[in-house]
Amino acid sequence: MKTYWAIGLSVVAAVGGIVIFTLVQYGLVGAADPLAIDIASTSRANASAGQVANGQSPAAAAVPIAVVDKPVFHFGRVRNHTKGHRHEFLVRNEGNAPLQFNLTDVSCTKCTYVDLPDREIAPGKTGRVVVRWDIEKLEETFRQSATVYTNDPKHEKLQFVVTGDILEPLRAAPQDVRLTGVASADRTTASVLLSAYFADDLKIERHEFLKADTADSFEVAYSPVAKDELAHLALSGVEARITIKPGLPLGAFRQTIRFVTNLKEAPHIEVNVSGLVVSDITVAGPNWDPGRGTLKLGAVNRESGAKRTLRLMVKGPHQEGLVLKVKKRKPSLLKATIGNFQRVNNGKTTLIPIEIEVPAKSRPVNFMGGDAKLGEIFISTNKPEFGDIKLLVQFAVEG
Amino acid sequence: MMRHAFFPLCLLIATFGFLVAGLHSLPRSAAFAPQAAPAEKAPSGNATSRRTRPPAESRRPPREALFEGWPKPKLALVLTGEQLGYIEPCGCAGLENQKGGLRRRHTFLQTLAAKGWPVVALDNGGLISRFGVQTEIKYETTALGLKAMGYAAIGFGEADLKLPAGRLLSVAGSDPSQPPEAQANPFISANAGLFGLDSGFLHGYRVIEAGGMRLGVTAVIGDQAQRAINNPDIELAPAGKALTKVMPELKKSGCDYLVLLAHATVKESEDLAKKFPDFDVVVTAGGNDEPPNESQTVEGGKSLLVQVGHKGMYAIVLGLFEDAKHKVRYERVPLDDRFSDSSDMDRLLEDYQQQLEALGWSDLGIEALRHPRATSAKDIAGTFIGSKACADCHEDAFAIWEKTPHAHATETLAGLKPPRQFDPECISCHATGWNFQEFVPYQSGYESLKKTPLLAGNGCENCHGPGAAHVAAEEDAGTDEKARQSLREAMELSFDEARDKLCISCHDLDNDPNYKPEAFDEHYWPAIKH
Repeated sequence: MKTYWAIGLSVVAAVGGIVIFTLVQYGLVGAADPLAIDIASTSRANASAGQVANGQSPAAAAVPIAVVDKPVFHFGRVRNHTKGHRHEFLVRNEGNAPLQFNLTDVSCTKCTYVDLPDREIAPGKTGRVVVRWDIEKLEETFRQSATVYTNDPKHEKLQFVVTGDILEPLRAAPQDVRLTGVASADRTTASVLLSAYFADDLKIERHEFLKADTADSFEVAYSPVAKDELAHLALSGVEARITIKPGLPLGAFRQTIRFVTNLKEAPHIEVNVSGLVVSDITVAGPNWDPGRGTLKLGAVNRESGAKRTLRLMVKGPHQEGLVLKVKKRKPSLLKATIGNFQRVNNGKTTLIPIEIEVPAKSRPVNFMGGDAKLGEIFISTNKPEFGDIKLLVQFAVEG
Repeated sequence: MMRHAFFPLCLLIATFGFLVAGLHSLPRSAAFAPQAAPAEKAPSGNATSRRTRPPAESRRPPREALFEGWPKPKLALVLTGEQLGYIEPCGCAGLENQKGGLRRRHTFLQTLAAKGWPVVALDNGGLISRFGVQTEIKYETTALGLKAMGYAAIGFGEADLKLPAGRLLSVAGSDPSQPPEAQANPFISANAGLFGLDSGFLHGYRVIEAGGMRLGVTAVIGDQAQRAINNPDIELAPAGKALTKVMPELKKSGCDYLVLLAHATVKESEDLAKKFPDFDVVVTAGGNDEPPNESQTVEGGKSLLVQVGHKGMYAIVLGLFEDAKHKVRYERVPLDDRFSDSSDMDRLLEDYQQQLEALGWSDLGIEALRHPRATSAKDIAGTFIGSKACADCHEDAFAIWEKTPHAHATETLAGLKPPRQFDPECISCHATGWNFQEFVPYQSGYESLKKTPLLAGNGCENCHGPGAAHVAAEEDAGTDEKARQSLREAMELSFDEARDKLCISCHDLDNDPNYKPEAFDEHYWPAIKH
């Protein structure tokens, strides 16, 4: 019996030891404060303390010292979609103990890699850190880094940076044209800069609209770009002016324009055009939910009431002679006041403030929606195209 | 004798066990400490960092200590920006390997406040990057989040200024009847005006008092970024010209520390810093996804140039001190899983998902695309049919697929809190029949678990293409053999194409930093081989 107890106790003690080791090692027990995690500095402090305890002054202890003269490599210009670039960074050990590289890290796991042909550098010697990279980017510049962790207490992390310009035969800026607030009755234009980086005679031979159903609403005109207005590092360029003609329906629209060029390396490039055709009259303001057409006031304090100013934004020809009146309020305790018309944006838009108020000391009511319904304010206009404007109001006055 | 020796032996084993535990729990020098990490599956890092392991080892570097040696600062400036719509980290690599998100950012700010540090949070703008109704809602959600976190000033990125004026006015607009000092709205811009630069809906700067200091903050959108903004309701001015106007106002306000939030390239930001050397700090949206881990001073100037990186993965903290030797300290803070999720932000993000659900695809402005294989809207070559139809002939392949996470991809989203299967940015890779990177469905692609249950999961057709025409040809005995064969070939997918182009469409940098073509051969393909 005693034997079994002894065996059992030993096993429990050994297991307990392993469990404690695992919990501490994996940081599952320890400080709750996320900023308190500090393995590196504690270990340095202990290493130093250990040296002092052994009768050595920290200064006299053998330590490696990593020195990197050129941690940043500018690779100049490379073509996009090219792989296998590499550079050797040199690391010198000016200390009196071997310099070791332990772990590596990269800023881009899919495009930057690091090799350590020299995992340990003897004192006074120089070793290599090789950084490799692939270029598959949409941007014009490349900047990635590789980090190597060392046993140098003053330089635990060495960072190596590779940077440069990415070129390709043809680029469109922007690649995606987004047009906001396109008025259905107006013409809207946007420009795209097409730039060639290896040819000095870029020409656009023709264009195609890939989405047939809205093709008739688009036009494109071209003009060459002067040398001093070319994109950075481009050799030639063409400005494409895209016009959206009146008549697109309300809501989102998309089109893709394929520009066919004279370049053998880049015979065509596609530019996406998308945007939103808006009504000539829209509502905006704090707590306004445009998707539901609702002013969300929520629970209103009976003593103080609540007030919000919405704005009607009116565009297009219907701005002229527009007259608004508050036609109906439900419940009647809601107040709505139409303010002064304000012409903005060089006359393209008229802003009309509408103050919605739940007065102080209103009786308790519930217009929070669902079974309780929502409050409503109707504003009539003298423009048959607009009809009545309905504003829903979600609110409740607490008793 | 054995019996007598037994007890001491057991005692020795027990003592050894405890000794091992005790010795290993002591900290040791970094060079030799087994690293604190579960190994294989969880390399530390996120969409833009991964540790490569020395051969025969599986360790990860120690988590970086933060604010080492920092006393309490007079003021801590927390600088962020370029979130680009990444409101939460996500992906197949595991949240412990990714950085960013509003939840962690809030917890980080709360952590600093709990330490008693006076904190001023400033965001460079670039809250979103896409376009459309979902993006508008996301912008509003993020703005609400930043306001709840107490951000003192927020700039604008180019995508932000492409939003409809109504949304911008609702979310970021000031009340023109109130003077700047009475404004609670943190959104500022010196060179972008909503309905005109003089409309009063956006103020050019803010003066913030904190930590006994008077901070002047202004924001600009760079000249290059302005070219992409086609918004008739936004008036723009060159950044330099606008700052020439704002600078005297800031100086008149008696500010003792000036910050410029420049949504511009690194070069443009440097040029502005040189032209306006009174700025103590210029925060730039340019640069790499991962910001530098040490501070930089503008060459030939005295301003600190701070890159905030992209996708909101990091926060940069500048500690301002009275100490003449260390007046400013810099810390790059990775928003990793050491920061738990903030419950306030949980609620906000839940509301965001609920809005997406309430609107549905149609009200989100999502229009189905014709699949490239279809030559017309009625061509069934572009019609999806569901993986169960494939099982009729490809039993083994189906049985293998059914056991993989691909088959449960939609279920995974639906099981999250909040559920994410109403989010186009999630469902595009978690259901069948969507364009992965455009976040729109193809015609006949997945609609909902109720309407298109057969298209749940990341099914066969996501890789092999729509199968309706192929199935119809196989089932119709009258099909011309040549046509039948041609359809079979169209459904084939080469190994190289899968490895180099297709899988990476979903297992991309943001969602699976572990995926590489080499890893495909070693790990990914064996897991789904069929």
